[in-house]
Amino acid sequence: MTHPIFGALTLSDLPFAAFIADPSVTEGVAAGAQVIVFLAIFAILAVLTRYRLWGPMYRDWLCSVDHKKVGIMYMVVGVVMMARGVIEGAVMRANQMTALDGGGMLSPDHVGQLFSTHGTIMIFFVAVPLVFGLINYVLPLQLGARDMAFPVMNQISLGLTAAGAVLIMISLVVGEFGTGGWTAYPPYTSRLFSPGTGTDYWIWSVLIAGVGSTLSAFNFAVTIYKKRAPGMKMMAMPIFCWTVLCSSITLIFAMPPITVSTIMLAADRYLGFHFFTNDLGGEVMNYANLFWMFGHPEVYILILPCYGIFAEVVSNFSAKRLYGYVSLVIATMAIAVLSFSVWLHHFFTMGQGVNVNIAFGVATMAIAIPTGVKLYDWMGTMFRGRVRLSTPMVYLFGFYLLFVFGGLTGVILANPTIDYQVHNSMFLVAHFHNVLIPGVLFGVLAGLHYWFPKAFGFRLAERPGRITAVLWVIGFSLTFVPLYWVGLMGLPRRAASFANPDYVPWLIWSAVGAAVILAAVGSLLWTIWTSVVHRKDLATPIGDPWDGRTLEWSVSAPPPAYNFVTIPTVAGRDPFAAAKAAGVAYAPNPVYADITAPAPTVVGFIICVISGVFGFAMVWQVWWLAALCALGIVGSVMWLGWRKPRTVVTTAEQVKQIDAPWRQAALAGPGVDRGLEFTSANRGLAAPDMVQDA
Amino acid sequence: MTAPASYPGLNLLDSDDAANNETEVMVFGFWVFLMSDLVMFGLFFATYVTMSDNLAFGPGPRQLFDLASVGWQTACLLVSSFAMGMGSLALKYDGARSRQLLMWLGVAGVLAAAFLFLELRDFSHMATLGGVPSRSGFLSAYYGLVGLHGVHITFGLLWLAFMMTKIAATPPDHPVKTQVLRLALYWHFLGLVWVGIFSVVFLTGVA
Amino acid sequence: MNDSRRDLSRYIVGLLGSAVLTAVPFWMVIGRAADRSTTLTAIALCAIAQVVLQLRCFLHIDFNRKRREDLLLILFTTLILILLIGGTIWIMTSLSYRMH
Repeated sequence: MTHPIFGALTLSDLPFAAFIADPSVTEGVAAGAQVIVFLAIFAILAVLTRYRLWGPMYRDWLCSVDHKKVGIMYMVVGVVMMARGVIEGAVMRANQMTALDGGGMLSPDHVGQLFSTHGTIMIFFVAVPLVFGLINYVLPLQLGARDMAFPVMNQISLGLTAAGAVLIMISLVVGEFGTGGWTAYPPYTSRLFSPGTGTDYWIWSVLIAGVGSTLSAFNFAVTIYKKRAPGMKMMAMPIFCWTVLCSSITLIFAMPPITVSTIMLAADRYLGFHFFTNDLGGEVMNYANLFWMFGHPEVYILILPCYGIFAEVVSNFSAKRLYGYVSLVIATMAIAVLSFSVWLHHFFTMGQGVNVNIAFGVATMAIAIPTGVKLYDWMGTMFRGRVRLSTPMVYLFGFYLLFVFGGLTGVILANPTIDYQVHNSMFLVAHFHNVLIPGVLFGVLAGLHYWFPKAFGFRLAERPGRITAVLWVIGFSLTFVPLYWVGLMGLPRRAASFANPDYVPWLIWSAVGAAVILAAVGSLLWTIWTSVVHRKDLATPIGDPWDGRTLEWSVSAPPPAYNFVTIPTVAGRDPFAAAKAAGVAYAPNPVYADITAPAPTVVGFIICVISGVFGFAMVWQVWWLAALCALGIVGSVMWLGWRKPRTVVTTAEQVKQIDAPWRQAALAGPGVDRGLEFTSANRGLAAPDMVQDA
Repeated sequence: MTAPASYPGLNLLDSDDAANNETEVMVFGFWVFLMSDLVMFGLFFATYVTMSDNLAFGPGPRQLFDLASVGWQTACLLVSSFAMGMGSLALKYDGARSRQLLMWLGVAGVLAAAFLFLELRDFSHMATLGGVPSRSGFLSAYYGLVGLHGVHITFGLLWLAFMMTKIAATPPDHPVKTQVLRLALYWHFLGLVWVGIFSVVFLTGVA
Repeated sequence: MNDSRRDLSRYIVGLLGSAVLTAVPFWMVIGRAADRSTTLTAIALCAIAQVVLQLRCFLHIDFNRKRREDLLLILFTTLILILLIGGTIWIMTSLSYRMH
């Protein structure tokens, strides 16, 4: 029976209680992690107070519905969670190299929590926020729009994602996380075999963040359909927008399966239902079926925008129109649709018949084809272009070197016969990291370097950036290539210990690689830090540091809140490149008019806090609190529906005051050519002779 | 008198381009949400179909389902959907704050409440026969699917009550039209899902 | 006011048509009018017909060019539903056959 006020919470769930009760190495590591969390919280509070940032943070950021601010906040969530996720990965690698004959420093229960939080965090709270953050920032600018279709809902999506992230951080200090992996398969995660609250942390952080992601998907799709600049037909959209559209449509249809499977699991755990129980007619295997209906499209949802980023980057830094735009669009659509026909390859070994396996295996192999088309199209873009090896291009080459391997091992795994040998071995672990890191992470980092000057008005320093990229390539390779081998030798995934001493040398290499990855993350943070320190040298306020081709480069850096003084009319692809080629990049005498925007609101932040508390209350079965929070959420939504939407007007005079100095500087010229692109001479204006169109 | 078809669905008469655009965005966005909701229902349907034989020696459709009651529930929901349609016409021809709109919304609400009452009565009757979700996989899937629909109807009723209050109690500058349009879409959507439910669950179960 | 009459008649057609398409399968089941597989087929056909009727009459979906996006959305959703529901039934049936 749970306590009427405190639910299932007991003193032993409080931070450090486990270490005090059992001061072992494994509990010491966990306590160390808790110390880091508290230190980080303290540091943040201290900085906010010392520099009097509470007011500005609330007014200018937490209440903002501007897609640019929302995008930056998403990135912050992603980077913070990435620190935890990478550290967890490194701890697992370190532990596993000592795990011969049950000798790992961590207990099996802690290993179980680690691989569960690592996967859950990396997918839902690193990859999704980073990709959505970039999309949020760039999409309206590329489309020639002032904001997303639903700015307030955008803010709410961010809030829900952040609430899920906070919940999973709380799981580190209050109680424990589940040990069922990021997939949380029943019956292991049923109340019978996982009686504690760990699995419930997984359920609620995934459900809450999932609602946020679903709302974002609606927002992105409707923005693309309905908010494009006049004249921008679908086939004239930047390729990044196409990948976002297909990713969003996929997301719209991929989120319901996990919502369903998680709700059903919750019903089993909380209400005694028999969806996934062994007894009384449950269908355990349906969980895997439902989960992977989400799980497979999810990875394409993450990678498609990154393909879009690479396409934008390759076109820009080859100074050439993207090769094969139409084939890229068709390939993107094909990947989106096909991604719904392959999910069974995650459970070839579950026991269904040969024909079923073959059908899904063939579909899985087929999906490699459109990806190949994309790779060839980007090479076609570089061919006869004038390629500059900027940091985003270093990431692109890292992608080419490494992602192709990962894709090929995927085609290997697509063969059910082979998969029976390597399913759930380290070979699989190596495969999916091989496509996620060089694919999604490198894409995000390339996008970060590419669009950073647009968002903040100064470039990221090139040399530290390239060093970071190289560290990532080396670190990834050292960590994961040995794991292919170890998997083929027979080591299963998620193993707390093993008996074969032949694994150990490879696992040591892998742990060394993990250390290099930690260095890469440190290098990334150092890159950002040193760029902030040197921002005056790196400043590109005019907003076009790379001689860009699409609309986002036609405004200042950072852009004004309203994005464009007048919504541009577009005649075809690469409108800014066309304008520069015609000599009309910056109109000298724009017409200034009043611009109306939705007013800032605190509702997204309120929903974030309430839903986080709701999740916590549901985990710990504090029913009175959960009911209060549910009412609070309903009340917040009703308040949104009741009120007259408030707007904020920037008068024509104010617009002119913001715009005129920038426009004057842009028209003053002369701009820099490629040779000076990475020097302090680059103030964000491209010289006319940089433009050459093939 | 005919306004050109500016956006999908029932076009309102007296809107200008900007308002039409705004409505189009809202309505399209809501359609997108409904499609994702449809997939969610679809998966509960699929789960129900695969689990419909998992009686675990407990009570099954023939013992538990009361087709007469289901028939009445269907009638309530169908007429409720029609009433909502009449409400949409009232919105278009009589205005966003008209008595006719309020009346039709009220009718739709009463009928939906009747639906819920009958459904809950069925559930409690089933419980006396041992037909509870914790009894078997079949029953879990049944309550999951039908319960999900019932929860949607409940939220719809809350929304309806909210809309009626807003229409009656707020000054004219509080926007109401696109909200009513979306509520109507939601209402019709749930009526469609019910067609699937009575066909796949009740009629198929007893046939 | 031709518009309002046309709008109204559309809703009435929807209501009456739906009532008929509901009554037929109900009657077939309650009255045990035919064997099981015929009944099931009738249920399915009437359901599909009623869904299409309500989409047309209550939800105003048609082939009009301006409403193309909505139609495409519904068709794409249908494709996804066929893949996911059909796939689920195929997979779970295969599992059930081999394991029970």
